Amino acid sequence: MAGEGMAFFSFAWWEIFLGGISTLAVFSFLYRENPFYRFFEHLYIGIATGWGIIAAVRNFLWPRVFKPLLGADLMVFPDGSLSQPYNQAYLLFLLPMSFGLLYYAILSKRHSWLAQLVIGFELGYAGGLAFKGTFIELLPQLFDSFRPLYVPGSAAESLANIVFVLTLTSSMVYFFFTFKRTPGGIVSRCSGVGRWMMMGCFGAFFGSTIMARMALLVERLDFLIHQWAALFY
Amino acid sequence: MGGKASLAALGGVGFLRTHYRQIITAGITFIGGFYFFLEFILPAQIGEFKFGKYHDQISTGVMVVGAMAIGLGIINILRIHGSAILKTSRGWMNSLALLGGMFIMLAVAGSDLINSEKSVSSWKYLANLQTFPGKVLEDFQTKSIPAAERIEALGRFVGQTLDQIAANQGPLRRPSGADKAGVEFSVLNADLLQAGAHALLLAQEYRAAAPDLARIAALSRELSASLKSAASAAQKVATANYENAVVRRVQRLLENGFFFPLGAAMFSLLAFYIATAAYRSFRVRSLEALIMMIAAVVVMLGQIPHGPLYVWDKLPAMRLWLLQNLSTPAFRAVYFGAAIAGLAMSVRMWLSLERSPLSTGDDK
Amino acid sequence: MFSFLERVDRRIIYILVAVSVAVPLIFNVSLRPAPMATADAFFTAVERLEPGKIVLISADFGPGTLAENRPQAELAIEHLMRKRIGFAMISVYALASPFLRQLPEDVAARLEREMPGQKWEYGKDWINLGFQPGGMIAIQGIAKAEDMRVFLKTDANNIPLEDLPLMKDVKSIKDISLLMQFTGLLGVFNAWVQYFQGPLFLHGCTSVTIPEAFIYFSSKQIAGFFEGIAGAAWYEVMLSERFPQRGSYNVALRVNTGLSFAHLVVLAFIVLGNAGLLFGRRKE
Repeated sequence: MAGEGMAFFSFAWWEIFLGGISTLAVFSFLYRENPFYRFFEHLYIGIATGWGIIAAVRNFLWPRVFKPLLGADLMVFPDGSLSQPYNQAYLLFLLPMSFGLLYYAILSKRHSWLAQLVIGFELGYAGGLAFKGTFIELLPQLFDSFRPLYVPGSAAESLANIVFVLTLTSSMVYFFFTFKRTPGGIVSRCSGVGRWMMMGCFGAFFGSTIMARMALLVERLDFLIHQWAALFY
Repeated sequence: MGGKASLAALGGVGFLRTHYRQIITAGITFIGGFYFFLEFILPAQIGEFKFGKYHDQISTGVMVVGAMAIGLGIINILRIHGSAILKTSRGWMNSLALLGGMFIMLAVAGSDLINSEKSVSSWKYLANLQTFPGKVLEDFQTKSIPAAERIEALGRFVGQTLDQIAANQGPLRRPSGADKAGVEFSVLNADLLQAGAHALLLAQEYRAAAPDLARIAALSRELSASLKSAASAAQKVATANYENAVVRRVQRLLENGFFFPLGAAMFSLLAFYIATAAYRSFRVRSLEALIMMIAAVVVMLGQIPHGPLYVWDKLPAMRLWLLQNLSTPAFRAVYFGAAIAGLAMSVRMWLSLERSPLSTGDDK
Repeated sequence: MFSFLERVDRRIIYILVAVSVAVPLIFNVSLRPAPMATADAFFTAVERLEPGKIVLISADFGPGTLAENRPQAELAIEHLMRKRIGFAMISVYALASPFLRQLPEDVAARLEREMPGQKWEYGKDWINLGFQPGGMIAIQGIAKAEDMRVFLKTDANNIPLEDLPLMKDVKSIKDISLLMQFTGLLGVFNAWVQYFQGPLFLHGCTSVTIPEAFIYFSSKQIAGFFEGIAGAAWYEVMLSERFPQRGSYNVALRVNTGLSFAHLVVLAFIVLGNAGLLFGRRKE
């Protein structure tokens, strides 16, 4: 528990203390909008932005791009000789870097169209990757949807499979708009059943959403009660 | 006939002149996805040609293109909040908090990155140095390059490192606090002293009128071994110093004192809002709403722990059955439609059949 | 007369929700959670692991979902550390970077206090590959790399991967026995499913995406998953039964218990609102 073996005003103590102040500042919004909340909200955005930038530089841009490009990973021995020759293939990085810099053209009214080139490139590669991703993700789902309606020796499993296939087909019929539906027809009725089944699904989502949001609150109160409050006794 | 062809050609040139931007953008968009499309549909090997031979480099290149955009966020933030501060417009104190937080985090995390780099370089240099005596010997034997000065340079470097450590400077200084790192520090000092002694002897051997190659080879191996051992100890010492540095602690303070709690608290407000929303808007006015309510109640109560709160011990099994046999197929039906639509939209974007949501409207 | 049931002040709702959560926390109430078949499957998959290959853990969560994802990741890491299975931390979400470093350190420190004399060391028992920008392009790059030590080059501390003992025999995706992915973000889980094919896949999701995760569990694209904090609580019980010396570290259990009381309060308010509607209609 916080407080045990923790020196007052040590770094660890300040971490918990400031964490509690930050949490209470945000909770103050529940009473009403106030400058205390706004100040901490903006502080959070600033810290998160700074953190995200350094994370990209630290984990990718510096070790995998700039360091080999600038030859900073080459070692100079005490006698002045290099540990290995500079690999000129790294100069090819300048091509994607220059292309990526076109993003900043969006800041110019006259040349903003250049940013569309790099945005288009990003959309293009995402589209190309989508082929592979969609089929790899979709096909196992499709195969799993074909279930036996009668399982010998297991009435429960047979019933479950029947409900499964009924729910799936009726829900898919609900979204099928190619042909005109006549009120009271088979397709309309099937679509109606599908709507009820989907309401069951949305009910599950609703219950799950409540659980998720409540968990966030429980964690914060757990911190305030067991760590922050413990600093003071 | 000739006149019609000329008119058509003129029309084409005119089209190109007015629509060159669209054409270039469409072309680059297509090229962006073409490699990955081919990589999916073609086999990995076609005869002698291995299609994915440069996949690593292409993937890294694509990541570099995206990573170049990190400055856009800073520029926009500076424009909006910087001007709010300069004009002292309403809420300028909040803008000051935002920019202050950002620059402090950039400074602290940036310093931490520099410290990390220095820490790694310090022991990595020693680790790479272990190949140096062997390289010097090889050059001496094959290319007759004088070796004594080179080994003496190594000896001077070891001496400078020891001086720096004695002055309590640099990434390899004595760590404060941790016992294990204190032991490694003693090992590091001993190994460096031994390496210095070996370097001295080796240089003397190289300078001899008739160098004994067997003795030189043995001394080179001993020198490499000392440097290797020193590098291993140096890694632990440098890591301990890096973790205990003030900058590192300040970064943790910013993370644990502000970053995590503020983010978690912002999202935890949703708990209150969803409780209020559920109370105010969830009204059972139809059969569909009743089905939805029953499903929600079963899912929520089905994971209540055992004990006095337990409504019915079959609820967890009911919950699982509902999720597996009702929720899964219904969501899967929605998912099939969404996946196909997503693929269709991706293809349209790739082939530039769809107007980009980020286009500026000046396409000509 | 009953219309007040539909117009309870929002601040009363806030107070009641907060009190219902705080009271069990203050009195340290930890109730045995409901069993979760999906968490059982997760546990079995980890128990079956043999030393040799490493596990890749992708912690793609930030402060917004740490309430559920952090205990999940902590428990999974603890299980791996107790079994002495090496693992590599990675993320495609920038705000997850601090967790990649802190989680294994915190768990290792706790285990070393529990078992004096035993050590878990960075580089030998775990490594941190850091944040990889690019999302799906990074994931597919790692999956297709012939030598991921060359592709990724260094860990999050700028140490070359070939210098880390854990990565000595790890070249490609074939040397990864299992992928564990913890996230509450839309799209990230799908990207791993789409582009990281091969190793067994275990998932930790927030409660919001439980119905979505079930469709992948049903088609066996994931071998097991944590159903939010409730799954983590059940996993904690199984871990304590498997390793009795574990003691009373029970964050997931505490949070799950508080959550359950909150559920009852929310359900009570929903019933109250509908009662107001029902009685109001009858009066009309």
